[in-house]
This record gives sequence, C-alpha cells and structure tokens, in this order.
Amino acid sequence: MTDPPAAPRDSLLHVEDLRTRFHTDAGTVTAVDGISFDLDDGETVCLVGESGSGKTVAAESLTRLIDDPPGEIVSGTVRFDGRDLATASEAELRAVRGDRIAHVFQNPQRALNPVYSVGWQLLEAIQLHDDVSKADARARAIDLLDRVGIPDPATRIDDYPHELSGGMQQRVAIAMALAGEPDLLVADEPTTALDVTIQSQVLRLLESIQSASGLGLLLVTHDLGVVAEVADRVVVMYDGTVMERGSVHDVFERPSHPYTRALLDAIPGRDVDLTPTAARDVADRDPSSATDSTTGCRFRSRCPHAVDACREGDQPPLHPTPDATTSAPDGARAHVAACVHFGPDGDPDVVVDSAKSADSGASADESAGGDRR
Amino acid sequence: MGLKWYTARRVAWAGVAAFVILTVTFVLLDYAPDPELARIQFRAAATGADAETAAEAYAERRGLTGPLWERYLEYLGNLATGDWGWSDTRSQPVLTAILTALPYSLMYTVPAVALSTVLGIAIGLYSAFNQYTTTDYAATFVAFFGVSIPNFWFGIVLLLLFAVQLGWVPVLFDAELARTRPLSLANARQLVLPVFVLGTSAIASTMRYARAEALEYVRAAFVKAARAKGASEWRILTRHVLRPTLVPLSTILVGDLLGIILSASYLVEVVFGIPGLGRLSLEAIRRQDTALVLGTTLVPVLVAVLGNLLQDLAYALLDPRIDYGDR
Amino acid sequence: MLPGDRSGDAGPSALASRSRRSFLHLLGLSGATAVAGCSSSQGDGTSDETHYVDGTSTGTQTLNFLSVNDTPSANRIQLVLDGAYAITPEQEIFPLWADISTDEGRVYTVELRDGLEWGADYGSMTAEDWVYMITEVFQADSNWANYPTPGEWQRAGEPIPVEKTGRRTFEVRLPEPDPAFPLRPVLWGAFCMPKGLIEQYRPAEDQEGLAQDEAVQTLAYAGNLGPYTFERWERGSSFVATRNEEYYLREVDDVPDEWQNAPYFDSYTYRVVPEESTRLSALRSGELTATDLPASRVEQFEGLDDVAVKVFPQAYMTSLIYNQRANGSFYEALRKPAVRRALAHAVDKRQIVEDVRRGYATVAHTFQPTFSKWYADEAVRELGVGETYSHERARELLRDNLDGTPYRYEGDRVVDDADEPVTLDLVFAQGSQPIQTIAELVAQEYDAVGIDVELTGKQYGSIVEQHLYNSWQGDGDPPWDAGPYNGGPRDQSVSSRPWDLILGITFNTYPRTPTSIRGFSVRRGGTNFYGYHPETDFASLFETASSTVDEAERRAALAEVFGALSVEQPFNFLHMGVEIVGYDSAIRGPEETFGYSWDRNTWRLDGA
Repeated sequence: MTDPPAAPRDSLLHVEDLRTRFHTDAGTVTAVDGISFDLDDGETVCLVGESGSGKTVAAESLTRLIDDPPGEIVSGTVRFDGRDLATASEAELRAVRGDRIAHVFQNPQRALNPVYSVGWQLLEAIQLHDDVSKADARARAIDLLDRVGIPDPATRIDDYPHELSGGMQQRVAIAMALAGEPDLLVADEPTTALDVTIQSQVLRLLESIQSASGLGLLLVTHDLGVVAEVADRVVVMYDGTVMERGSVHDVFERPSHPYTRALLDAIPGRDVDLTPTAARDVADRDPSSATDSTTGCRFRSRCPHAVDACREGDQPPLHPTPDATTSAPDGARAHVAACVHFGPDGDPDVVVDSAKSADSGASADESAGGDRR
Repeated sequence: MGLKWYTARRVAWAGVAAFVILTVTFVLLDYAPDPELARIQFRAAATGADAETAAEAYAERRGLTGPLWERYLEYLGNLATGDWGWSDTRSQPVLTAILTALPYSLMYTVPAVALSTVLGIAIGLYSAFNQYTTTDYAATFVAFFGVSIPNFWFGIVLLLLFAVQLGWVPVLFDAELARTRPLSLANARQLVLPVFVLGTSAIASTMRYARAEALEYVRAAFVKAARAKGASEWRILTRHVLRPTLVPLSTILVGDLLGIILSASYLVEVVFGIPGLGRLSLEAIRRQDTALVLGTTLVPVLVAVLGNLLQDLAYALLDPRIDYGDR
Repeated sequence: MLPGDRSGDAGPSALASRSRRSFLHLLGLSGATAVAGCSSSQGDGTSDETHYVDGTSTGTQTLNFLSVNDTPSANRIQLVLDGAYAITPEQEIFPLWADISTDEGRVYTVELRDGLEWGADYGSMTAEDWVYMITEVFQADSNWANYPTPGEWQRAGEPIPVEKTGRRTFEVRLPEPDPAFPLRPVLWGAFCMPKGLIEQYRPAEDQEGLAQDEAVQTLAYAGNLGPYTFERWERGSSFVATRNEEYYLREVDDVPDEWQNAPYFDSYTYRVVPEESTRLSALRSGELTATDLPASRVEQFEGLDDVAVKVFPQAYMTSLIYNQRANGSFYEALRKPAVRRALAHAVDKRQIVEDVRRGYATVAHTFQPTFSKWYADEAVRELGVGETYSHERARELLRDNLDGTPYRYEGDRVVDDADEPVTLDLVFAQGSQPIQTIAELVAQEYDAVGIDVELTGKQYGSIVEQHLYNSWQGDGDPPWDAGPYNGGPRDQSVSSRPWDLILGITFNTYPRTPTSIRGFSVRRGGTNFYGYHPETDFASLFETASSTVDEAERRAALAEVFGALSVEQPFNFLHMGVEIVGYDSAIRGPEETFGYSWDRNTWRLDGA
C-alpha cells in the first residue's frame, strides 16, 4: 500500500503511511491502516468518508490526541515543519498543539468546558503559548471573538458556554483554535452538529479566516457538498485507508474508484444508499477478523465491479488514474485510486465506462455542490 | 438578590428540620424504659426500704415529673437562652459537656476528613486518568480495604501493633495533654492512629466517587480540546477535570462524611478512649440523660444542616449552569 | 459491693446495695506505675514521682454522694474523704474519722477524732455536721436530696433516732438491738458534708442547687480528711487526685506506721478506658497500674513479668431462679422443694465453674460464700456436684415427686396434663458470654432429664421490668404488698410476662451481715419476686440472729438458715464470683482475701 515514493516537498504537512490501532476487549481494531497525503500552506484538504472510515481518528492522530491507551499510533510519519510528530516527545507535541496546529471539534457544546467562562478558555489558549499579561490576553481574546463574528464580544467574553447558541459556541471554538495563530487548522466535522442555516455561515467564516491568514485547513467531513465548496484537494477514505486522492476537480469530475463514484451518486432519489448506519458499519467490518487478516480490497463486498483479483493479497495500492498525467504532477498531488482496475493489469474502463452514462449527472452535481443541502 | 433569599430560605428550613428532630428525640426518650430506675428500685427493696419512694426520688431528681409538653416547652425556652440544661450523668451543664467534648472530636475528625477528602479526590482523579493500570487497581484495593474493614477491629489491631509491640504511640489517649498542648508533637503522636482509622474508612467512598465522576470527564471532548490547545496533562487534571468533578462530588461529600463521622466516631472514640462527642452522646443515650441526649442530638443536626447549606452554596458556585434564583 | 469493685453498675447483674468498703480500698494508695520498666503516663519527667493509674471501663456520673451512692462515684470520693471507719477482713472495726462502740448492740456511740478540718473554710468536722446530715438529708420526710437508700436510716418505717451528745460525739439509738449494725453499709465508710454547705440548700429543698454546687462537684470541702486532694475531673476520661500533705492520719498515734505515712503515691488517677482490649493493652504497656481482667485473658497475663494477677473472692452469687408464681408453665411443680432438689441434681456446677468460668469461681450451695465466718459446712447440703450430680437420680426424684402436680413422665419426657411436653422458658441476661453459655448448659442438662428448655436473652432492664416486677392481678387490693418485687401472694401477683427460669441476676450474699438476705427468703420479703414460700421459719431465725449479742447463738441461728436454704433450694445456687485484677508487678499490698481493699492506703511500690 505504498505510494509512488513522495519527494518530500515543502508541504506544510506530510502524512505517510499512518497507522493507528485501538486495543479493545473485542480485539485489536486498526482504525487507520496506512494513509498518506500532503497539505500545503493556504491549502484546504478534505478527508471524506462515511462514519467509521477512520477519518476522525486520522485527524486526531496527527497531533496524537488519541487516547493512549487504548489507542496507539503504530507506524507512519507525520511530518510537520521538519519534525515527525508521530515520534516526537510530549513536550514537543505540546508546543505544537494550539500554537502551530489547532483543532476544532465536531460538537462545540461538548468541546467547551462547561464550568469556565468563554474568556477563561480563550485566555488559556492564548497564555499557553504566549507570555502575555492577563489584560493583554483579554484584549486579544475580545479581538478574536470579534474576528469570528461574535456580536458584542466585550460582554460575551464572560459568558459561559451554555449561555451561547450552537453556532456561537462553534465560533468560540474556532476563536480558541485561532488564538495561537496556528499554521494548520484541523476541523473535524465543524458544521455537522449545527443548524442548516448556521452551517454555511461557519464555512464562510473558515474560508475567510483562511484567506486572511493563509493557514492550511484540513477539513474532515462526510458531507460532499461541503467538500465541493471549500476543498482544494480531496482524500477519500474507506475503512481506514485512502481509496482515492486528488484535486477536487479531478475527483469530482472524474471520480475513479468505485467507492467514490458510489458516493457521488448518492443523491437523494438514487438507488445506492451509502448513508452510514451503525448496523451497517458492524456488518461491513467484521471485528473478529480484524483488519490484520484482510484479504484483498476492503470495498469488494459492496463493489459492483469486484473481481477475483480483489479478493487476494493486500488492499490494492494507489494507482494513478487515467487522467493523472494530465491533471497534476506525480507524487502526492496526483490523482490516484486504490483499485485493481487502475493497476498495471487492470482496465479502467471497467469502472469508468459503466459510469459514463452517469457522468453528466456527476458534473451537474459538482456545480450544484454548494447548494446541495 | 437571588443568593441572599436562597440562603435565607435554606437557613429557615434548617431551623424547621432541627425543631422536628428535637421533638421526635424528646418524645422517644420519654418512652424509653429506664434501667437505672429498675436498679434503684431493686436496691431499695433489697435493703428493706420502700422501692416506690426510691423510684419517686429518682424521678424527681431527674426531672421526669410533669406532663410531656410542659417539660418540652420549658426545655425549648431554656435552649433559646443558652441554658441547655444540666447533665445529671456528667454533673455539669450540658453546654459545658458538649463544649468540653467538642475539641477532642475535632482534633481527630478534622484531620481525618481533610486528609481523606484530599487524598480521596487525588487518588480518584489519578485512577480515572490511569484507568486499569496497576496503580489504579492498587488504589481501588486500598480504598475497599479501608471501607470494608471494621473500624474498631482495625483500631484495636493497630494499637496492639504500634502501641504495645512497637511502643511508637501511647496506648491511652491523654485528654489533658490534648487539651493543654493541642499542637504539640506528643498530641500528634497520640492522634495518628485514630485519624488513620477514621480516614481509611472515609477515603474509600470519596475515592470511588471521584474516580467515577472523573472518568466521565477524562474522555470528554473538552478534555481533548484542552489537550489540543497544548495544555499539559497536569493542567488538564487539576483545572479541566477537577472542577467539574467537584460539582457532583460536593453533593455527596457532606452527607457521606457526616455519616462516616457520626457512626465511625463512636467506635473510634471507644477504642482509643477519646472523650469526644461520639462517646458523649452514646453514653447519654445509654444512661438516659435526657438533657444531654437532646443537646448532643442538636449538634449533629446543626452540623448536618450547616453542611448541607454550605454544600448547596458550593455547588451553586462551582457550577455556573446552576441557577439558584428561581428555586 | 466490695472495695475496689470495678464491676460497679456496668454488669447486668448487680442487685444488692453497694457497700462502700471499696472506698478505703481506693484510698489505699497502692504502688505506683513506674518502676521495673513500665512507663507511667501520668507525671512527666522526674522518676522520683510515683503515680497510681487505675483503669476502669466506666466513669462516674457525679461526686455528690448525697444523691448517688454507686461504686464508681464512691471510689473516687474515697480518695479525698476517708469515711467514718473501715472494716478489716477479720471484721474488726478500724477507726478512720471516727470510732463506733456499743454496750449492748442497741445504742451506738460515734466519736469523731480531734483535728478533722473541712476545706473551703467550713471549720472543723463536728458531730453537728453528722447529725444534721443524717436527720435533714437521709431522714428528711420528703427526701429532698433524692438519697437513693433512705431506708437504711429507718427501722420499721420510723427514722432511727440520732442525737448529738457532745462536740464530737453522737449516738445512734436503734429501736431493737442489732449487733451487726457497724458492719452494715450505713455508717461503715459513710461520708459527710459540712452543715454549712448543706444548709444552703436544705430550707428550699433545692436538690438541683446542691447537685450543681461547685464545692460539691470539686470536693472542695475535703480539707485534710483524705489521703489525696481533688485535682481535676475530666468527664469520661480521668479523675486525678494528688497527695494531700495535710492528711489527718499523719498526726494520729493509734494507727500502724504504714498508715501514718500514707499515701505512698504522688497521685492517684482513675482512667476511663471503655474498650476492654485497649485497657488490657495499656496494662501491658505499663500505662495503667491496675485494672480488671476478664477470666478469658488471665492466661495471657500470667506469663508476663511486668504484671501480677490476683484473684479476690467475692460475695456475689449467680443462681438459677425458679418461678413459683402462677404465671409460669411449671410452677406447681417448682413450688415443691423436692422437685427443686431433684432439678438441682441435674445441673453440673463443677462444669460451670471449671469450663465456663475457667476456674474463676467457686461452687455455691447456699446463700453464703464458703469463706464467710457464718458458713457452716455441716449444715449445708451439697447438690449438683460429685455424686449428687446425676441425671438418673434427678429423673428418679422427679418421677417420685411430680405427684400432685399436673405433670408426669411420659416415657422419657415430662409432659403436662394435656400430654404436651413441658417447655420451660429460660430468660437470661444479655451482655455476658459466660451467662449465655451457662444458660445453654442448663438447657442441655434439663433436656437430659426430659424437660425442654427455650432460651431467651434480654437486657437487664427488660428482665427487671417484665419478669421481676409483679403486681396484684386479682380484684380489689392485695391483702399485702411488699413492694414492686413482691406485689402480693404468689397466686395472683405475677409479672407482666411469663417465665420459668431466670439466669444472670446476681445476689449479694452479705457475708458480713447475713441477716440482710432476709428479704430473699421470707414469703413477704421485699426481693422475693420468685414467689418462694419457705417451710422453715426463717423470719424468726433471722430475728434471733440479728438481735442477739451472743455470738454462739447467732452462729447457730445462721447455720440453721443456710442449712435450710440449701435443702429447700428456693433457687439453684450455682457459684460465687471472683474479682480478677492485674497489677503492675511492683505493687505491694493487695492480699487475696475477701474485702482486700480496706487497707489500700498502705499499698506501695516495691522498694518504696
């Protein structure tokens, strides 16, 4: 499952073959089983996948936020700013967290400590990395609140989280993340728990922050509409591995992997139902066999194009798609898909052709992505 | 202001509770049979005297004549003016008896409570953070040991070991020493075992509660968020987890501790011979010293009520989500 | 109660009035703790100081002896107040504050020593103080001071005339001669309070004022009247008295030297330690000089070098009492002496003494201990030991003597007239493991002769209320009434709950003044709660014994009493108790006799 060797470019974040395991009573689960991608300054990369794909674990593994035990980063590299975070010391990690890489979590209500005021938590974010006086920190906090669009920040700074609406809470969370002036912001489903009307506001906010400060944004989501709206590049995950990777144009216009194609087809009204449900996850991933003994491609049981080759050996490596040479240079930016049909012995047309009839639909989807919900 | 009215209401309620308890105690005491009376009568009969007269003399002496409500009202009146009555079985005013015994009780309960609370919470938090490690199991074992082992047995065994065999601490509690030099090393020596015995029984529940509460927060999203901000584990433990843990913990703290102190303190005081409130009230009940029983009932009632009030206030202060204005 | 008696009011069983012989025992300054490797907790620093620390399980409630005269309070008061006089184990009078004498045993002259001074400016002790106290307190109609046993200063319902005959003399004029009067706990060991103190409260009959008076509670009036002076009383913890340099006995010539130099300790402390094992640990560690030992721990302490175990005979008897009142389920049979004798054959007294009491008791056969000078071996019939312990014999005797009762033997078991097996209710006093064991033993023994026994444990107070108190159940008034323990004739005056046997109430056998047991043995006796009708005329025998001055006559009368009692078996006399005390091995003084504590003043440390 290795990439074409990636020339270490000056990417802000370079993740290579990251593997994270959880030791549970029911056995060992490899939630992230070798993923790789890059992220540059000012770039927005979206980790897409259904629930259970391991995207949240991947996001949290970057700065080792995973609870250890029972989680454990087994192997791989997370190169950030010349350091490998996967093997860095606690002290180094603490210096990076908040200051260089910040996190925004899915449920803002739970991500804010209920017994401390908003201001207290903001001040903490500031003062953990900056030796400033309380008064200065407070001024900065108010400024941050203003930046994220909280009205009347000088008063609201003393409010408690439960006194704010969901949308406001998420803005506060973003403000907290920005407090350290990070280079990379990791946002895990930042809009999923919010009202529909608030969602786009928050996205807008993220975008404007990014363009203003040039920070990198790693957005984890299962909502393709969000991806279409904000992403520069897309990493499609399924069952802990990368299925397809490439620029948003490439992936949306010419989806290659059967899984990606199925995702993009999943518009209300169509047959294929990829709505994640708990039951489905269990059925699809048999814990007793664990990922250690996976044979073949993880997606084969749901793949309309599965062949014998799919049941043998390891997960197919990421092969360049037909348009790879035309769309982007080699390496981490290439449009790749982990499917035997795109390998040396396969025929891409098996996948691509059958979907050709639906292509026009896909293109139309792309353009309508922003207003999907 | 919400808080003032709230406090006033709680205090008033405390008064009602105290009154009810006092009344019930008074009535119950009146109905209890009196072995001392029996003894006196038999003695009189054995020497050929009139047992009736002896009985009457006894009743007179103990103030047991007159209708119940009359005696009770008189008692309440005195209570208000600071005259808590005369204790026949101690031959001193009830208030004096209580105030004499109180310091001895405080001397070992306060350190025991303080230590067990602090240690209990600390160990509980540590256990929550390091769940299922050897230290966690060890702490749990120690906690359960402390709460399961009978206090009086434990005290006796410790006395045998440390006082008789090793001679590190005295066997008998020297009340005069405690009274005149409470902060001396000698006093500390004689208090070590009682504090330890009482503390070990109290620490268990605090520890388990703290652990259970903290566990809820250890995996909480805001803890992860704090970690993502770059906070150290220590900071997370002491600032992010401790405070929300204390909120529900404070609700059980007072009741729990009071229960332990009031029940365990009797045993501790009997075993170590400390003339504290526990023994005072127990002997008052045994000897049917009405005035003293009522007085010593009042003390824990006041403590409980005050404790609950403080606890409610603490709760409201610790958790900003609680709104006490409208209750 | 005996001197130095620690059981006080702690056990479930003491019924008799407390004699205060123990006071002197307590006063007797016995050896101090310190010496021979034991460290003293009292007194710090100088190793020249000697302190006696007496460990007890219960404290005292008051120091006001006019209202309370139980053992714990008396013990402490005795440290600072000697009392009128002491009685030696040979039953001789040993004058302390006063000497008592008589010509014919009816009029007693009490003469106080010169030089007895009250403290707190109350002047000298004179006869005026005594007469005032006796007539205005003990004999007051209203008993305003709530003296527990005013009856002791009365005869036949009338106060005994007491009159002052000189500055330091007064006379007690009994209506009838009573040669044993000095040995009764009336004047023996009696305390006194200054008239000046009592009269503050007498006119208003202010018992509360008296009880709360500080001088009373701190014994400030004790002056030079005792070997120690009051130092402090920490309720529930310790009572401390320090050596009294003014002690009057120092100036006196007619006492042995050892008394003149008393006390031999710088302080005497009563230390309250409620938990037995802690108390015993303190004895081992040397923090206590002396304390009671339970029989089960004697072995442990006998082996120790630092502790000397002493066993003192006592006059308390444990008996199995039969209910002869009409609310038992076997009373018709229990009323027959022959049946009671038969039952006495069934219970093994030796086993009780050896196994249950571990040898720390002596078998009893009548209402007197064997060490009593009035005990007559020849007269007393021994049952339940050796050959007279036999289940077959018991059965035989029962079979023969159940005629005329509704009961008989049906095969192996005793049944009533409805052919139901007889089941006896045995009520025993809770709180003492040996008592419970004896009860179980009795049940077994009775079962072996064919009688079922059901055991019920109850608190002492409940036993008294439910089984000892009895009252007239018939119409109208009872023909006679001897008090709450004997409310009338046994057919109609019964207790509130039925019972057949009681175990755990102990009786004082009054070896010094045996006529005091009269109330147990006559039909209208004040303590005859079990409904016993004697066949022997005990009343006139006691009359003779108490009124005659002729020692031989008295002896004969009493011998007949005890002999008759052993034959009639109003209850099954089981055993006499002992007091076991552990002392610091350096203490010299205590002798293993009855009444051992009378000379406590003279006890001392080895080498002192």
